[in-house]
Amino acid sequence: MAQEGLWCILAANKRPPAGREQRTLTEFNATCNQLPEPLRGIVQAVLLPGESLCAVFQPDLDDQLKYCDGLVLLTDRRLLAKEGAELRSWPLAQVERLQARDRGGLATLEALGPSARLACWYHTVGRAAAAHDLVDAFDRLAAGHEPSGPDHDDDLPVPEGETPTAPVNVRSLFRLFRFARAHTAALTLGLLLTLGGTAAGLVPPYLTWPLVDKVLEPYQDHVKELRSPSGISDREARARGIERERVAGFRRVGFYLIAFAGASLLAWALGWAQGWVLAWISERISADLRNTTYAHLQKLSLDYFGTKRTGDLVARISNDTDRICSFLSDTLVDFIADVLMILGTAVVLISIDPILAAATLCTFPIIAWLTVHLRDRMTHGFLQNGRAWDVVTSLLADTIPGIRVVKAFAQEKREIERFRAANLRIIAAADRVNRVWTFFWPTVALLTQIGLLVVWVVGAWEVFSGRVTVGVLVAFLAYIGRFYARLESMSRMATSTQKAAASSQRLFEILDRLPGVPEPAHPVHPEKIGGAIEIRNASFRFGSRQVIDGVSLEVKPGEMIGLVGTTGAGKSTLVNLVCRFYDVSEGAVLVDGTDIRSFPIAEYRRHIGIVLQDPFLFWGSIAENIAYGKPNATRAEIVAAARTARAHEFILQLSDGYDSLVGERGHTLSGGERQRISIARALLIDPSILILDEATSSVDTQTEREIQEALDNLVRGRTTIAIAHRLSTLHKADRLVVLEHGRVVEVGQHADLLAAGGRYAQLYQAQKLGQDLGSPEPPRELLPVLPEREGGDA
Amino acid sequence: MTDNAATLPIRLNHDAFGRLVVTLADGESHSGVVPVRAFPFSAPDQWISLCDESGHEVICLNDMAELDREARDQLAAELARREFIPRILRVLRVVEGGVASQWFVESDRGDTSFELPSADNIRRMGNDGALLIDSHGIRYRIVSVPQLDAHSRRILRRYL
Repeated sequence: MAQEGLWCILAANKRPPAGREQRTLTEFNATCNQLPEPLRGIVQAVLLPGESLCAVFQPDLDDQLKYCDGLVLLTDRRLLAKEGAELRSWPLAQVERLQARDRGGLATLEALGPSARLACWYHTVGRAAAAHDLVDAFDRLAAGHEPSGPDHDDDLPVPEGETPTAPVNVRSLFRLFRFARAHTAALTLGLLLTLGGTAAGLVPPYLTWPLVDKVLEPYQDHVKELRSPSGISDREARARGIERERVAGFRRVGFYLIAFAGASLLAWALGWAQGWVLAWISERISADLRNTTYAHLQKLSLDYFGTKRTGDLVARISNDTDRICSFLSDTLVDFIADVLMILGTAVVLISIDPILAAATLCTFPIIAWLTVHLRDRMTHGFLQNGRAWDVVTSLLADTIPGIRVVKAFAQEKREIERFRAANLRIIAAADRVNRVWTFFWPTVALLTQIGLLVVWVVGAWEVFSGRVTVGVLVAFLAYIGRFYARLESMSRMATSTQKAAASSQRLFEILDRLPGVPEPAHPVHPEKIGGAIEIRNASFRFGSRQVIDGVSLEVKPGEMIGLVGTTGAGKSTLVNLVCRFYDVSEGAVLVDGTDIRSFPIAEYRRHIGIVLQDPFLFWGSIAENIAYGKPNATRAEIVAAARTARAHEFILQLSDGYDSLVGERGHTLSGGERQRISIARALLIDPSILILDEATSSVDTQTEREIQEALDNLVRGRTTIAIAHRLSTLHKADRLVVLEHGRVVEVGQHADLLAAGGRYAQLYQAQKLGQDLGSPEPPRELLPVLPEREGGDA
Repeated sequence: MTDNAATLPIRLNHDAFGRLVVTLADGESHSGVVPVRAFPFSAPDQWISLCDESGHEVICLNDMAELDREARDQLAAELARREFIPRILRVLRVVEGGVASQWFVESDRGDTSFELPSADNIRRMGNDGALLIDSHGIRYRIVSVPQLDAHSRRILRRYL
């Protein structure tokens, strides 16, 4: 906990006070005072008078790579390290260089002297950012800067993101109540109906008691008495009114039976109404759940989708909500009815005869204990089961869209094998669960039989000892049948409850995920965006990898910038930062002088048009696809955009023109056609900022020329950042920016860069060489693609 | 002659080979043009493009109503000759056979039957309409499902 606090403080330290005046000593001590106890005490103890603290870093591994808290301090005079009780220190003059490295989760920070390594600290990659900060602070000190805040950092306060309330981790099923709240009235009605139905259900067995004790038995006794050996003939007996007695008794039987039937009918009607009401509610709750989950999913940033498999997410939204729905409508209702019934029965039983009641209820604690005991094992099993299902759905979601690759490489057999293996996991997980519950149910059935036996024994004894009448015993037996039936159904419920609990846990896993790109707390609404982009010392780390490292770039409105660099140079990431698919780790991206983190995300993106390497077309007509970013566009606008994008004529050649349906990925269209539709899509929203991410890399040169015409129309008058491997695509760019390892290495125009003979010239020569070597390409300035393709750095 | 104030000065007629010839306002004429509806379902009478034989657009008519009566009749006749999308008026019966199904319908072009390869070949068009594509790629339209008779609706409900 203390460490987490420290991260915050380190992060806060990076934000310098307003102005760039030199920080005073007291301010540094204030920094020190911000440290959490007991760290502050330790730090204060080792600092000399007048020495000020510049950076704090806590390595969390020792040199044997075992977890161990260490401490490395950088002051304006010394580098200090505390390992256990031992304190080592080096005057800054001795330290030539600090070096932070990380690889595969393990990171090191090394202090290097002029002739040897002074020290090396190991830490996990989670602390790498802090280690880098320490190195940065050292570099600034070494450069002779005042020990002030990072001098390249700007004065601009970082816009504060909305801080969503952290989710409270309660049992996931109870969290469903949040969704039930909207239907309180209907729920109350449902519960009242359940209560009424239960009460009505308790009446019929109760009636057996008077039926036996007050009607049948007295009549039987009466007849016996009349026929007793004292010797009265049948005739006499009849004369004494057996017939009258019989008729009267029969009437009473009729009364009880009609009441019996009436109560049963009432219970049926109430049960029906209750089932309908609760099913209605559960259907709505699960729809809410689906909507909420999907809406939340849409808000999550791209990096979430990068780590998730499509099929898994699909399964969560479809299967898991469905499972919860059936739990809410069937199981939960049954459960409530069961609990009420059991409680009601218990009350009635105790009021009739406490001893018999105690005998009836004796197996109840055992069943309850068994249920609780096995529940955890079952939840675990069902979660495992769910995960196994995820693998299967993910496999399907993977291979069905990629079926062409599968067939092209003749890997059908392997895919079938993979599917079989995934299926085996389902079987294994299911077997584990099944072993538990198949034991569980017969055990419960056995316990109920034992309970019945106990009641018979105790009942018989009580009847013989004259404590209760036969009628009471009969009523008890009638109740007990229901009681144990309910108990059994309740224990069956354990299964579906655990399933639903696992499902809701998986759903809340999505819902609890905070969007990586937060909405601003104090949004600035962009009226119109001019298109001036300023990337101010932006850095971006992807895990431990520094993808963008202190890039600064200013783009004037209407300017076209070409981003050039090898694979993994950070081109796509830089563009993603401008689009705010991710947020910068350090520095800022400003548009028209405002930090883009101040704009509401959707409003900001409305001003950005993006044309991607692989244009995605949604299922729908071409007109709908073009109008995706502006659904209320008129047909005139759609046609105009398509014309400018050079798509109009080929669309007319399709059988249904603009109303033609295109598939999931637009399979019926060629790459160039899809690309032109996506350009029309970007044109229609008339963006001020345009991003072209490898827009022409997947097509042949002829198609490229057509697309290039469309692109030239698109680029006109807009601030454009274009990435391309074919350097020729960038011939219209005002400036070329060459990136390497996340840093800007060259900026300039094509001719100047070529003359300078730097990195750009090398890239250009490489492409030219490729051209000379081969293809009978049209001369122009079209050049073949670089051997590698981008893909890894997003 | 005209029943619309804003008429386009375009003339349409057929030449001796039966090809459609369009004469534009500037007197330039193109023969062998083909009228194409850009939005055949959502806006059939607007955005009709006249393309030449190689598929290049000669002129795009935003609305048929902008033409004078004679040109409009010519265009309508040409479109009618070029388009074959029977409109289904009644679904008589459907014989299911595995995935595919045989449909017997009454259309505005007479009674016919066709094979529907799968239920995916029925698409909703707008709110009420539907489009059926048979195994040969011929399209059949239903303008409004709710306006069909009860028997047809009952059959279609299984597929929509």
